[in-house]
Amino acid sequence: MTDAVLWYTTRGAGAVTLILLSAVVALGLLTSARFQPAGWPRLLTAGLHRNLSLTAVAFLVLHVVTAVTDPFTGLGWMAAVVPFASWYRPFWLGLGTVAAELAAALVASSLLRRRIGYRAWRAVHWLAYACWPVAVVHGLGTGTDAGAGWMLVIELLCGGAVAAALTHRLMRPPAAPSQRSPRFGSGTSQPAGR
Amino acid sequence: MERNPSPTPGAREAALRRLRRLTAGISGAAAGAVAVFAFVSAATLPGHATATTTGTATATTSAAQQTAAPVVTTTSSSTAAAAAPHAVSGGS
Repeated sequence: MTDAVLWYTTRGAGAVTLILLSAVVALGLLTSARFQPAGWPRLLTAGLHRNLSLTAVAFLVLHVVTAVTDPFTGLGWMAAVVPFASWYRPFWLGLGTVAAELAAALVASSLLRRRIGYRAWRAVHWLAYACWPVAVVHGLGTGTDAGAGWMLVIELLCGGAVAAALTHRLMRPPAAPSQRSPRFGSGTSQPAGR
Repeated sequence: MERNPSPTPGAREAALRRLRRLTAGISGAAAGAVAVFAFVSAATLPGHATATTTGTATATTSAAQQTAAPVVTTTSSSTAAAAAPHAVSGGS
C-alpha cells in the first residue's frame, strides 16, 4: 500500500511540477517583457515568478524523493544525482536529472544574486530556457502517464502558456540596462511576501 | 510609452498582500492537485496492481530485479488470465 502511494505521488507530483515550471517560465518571460496590465503591478509578476519558483522546487523535490524512495521502482539515489546513470530508461530519466540540476542551479544563483552580481545571475538564468524543454522531454519520454488523455491536456496547456509568453516577449524589445536594474521586488535574495 | 511608475507605499503593501494570497492559494492548489493527479493516474494506469484470487500465490517482484518494466506481478492460478496483472513502465 505504501509503495503504491509513493508511486502515485511520484506521478502526481511530476504533473504538478510540470505545471508549476511552465508557470514559472511564462512569468519569467512576462517579467523580462515588462508585462504590466491594468490592475496588475509589475512587482506582482516578478514576485509571483520568484515564489512559484520555490514552490516548483518543493514539488520537484517531492517528485524525486518519492520516486527514489519507492522500493517498487528501485531507482536509487544515484539516478537522481548522476544524469544517465539509471538502470531504467537511462536517457529519459537522465534528462529529468539534468533538468532538476539546472533548476537547482537557477534557484541557487537567484538566492545568491546579491553576492554573485547581476551579470553572473543573468548568465545562469539563461539556463531556464534549457531547463523547461528538457523537463518536458523527460516527461514525454519516461512519464508513465505521458500518453494518457488528461496528461496530454496538461502538456498542451503548459506548452501553449509558455509559447504565448515567449511570443509576447519576442514582440517586445529587450529592456535597456538601466531598466533592468533591480527595483523593488526584483531582487531574489529572499522570497517576496515576507 | 513605457509605464514604469514607482508604487506608492500603500499600493506596494496591497500588492504584497495580494502576492501572499496568490502564493498561498497556488501552493495549496498544487498540493491538492498532486492528490487529484495521483488519484487520476491510479485510476487510469494502476501500475502497482497486484492480482489476487482465492487460493492463488501472488508474488510481486521489485523493479530493480527486472530488466524491462518495473512492475511484474505473477499469479499462479487457473484464473490468472482473468486477473491479468498490469505491466506499466515508468519511473517518473
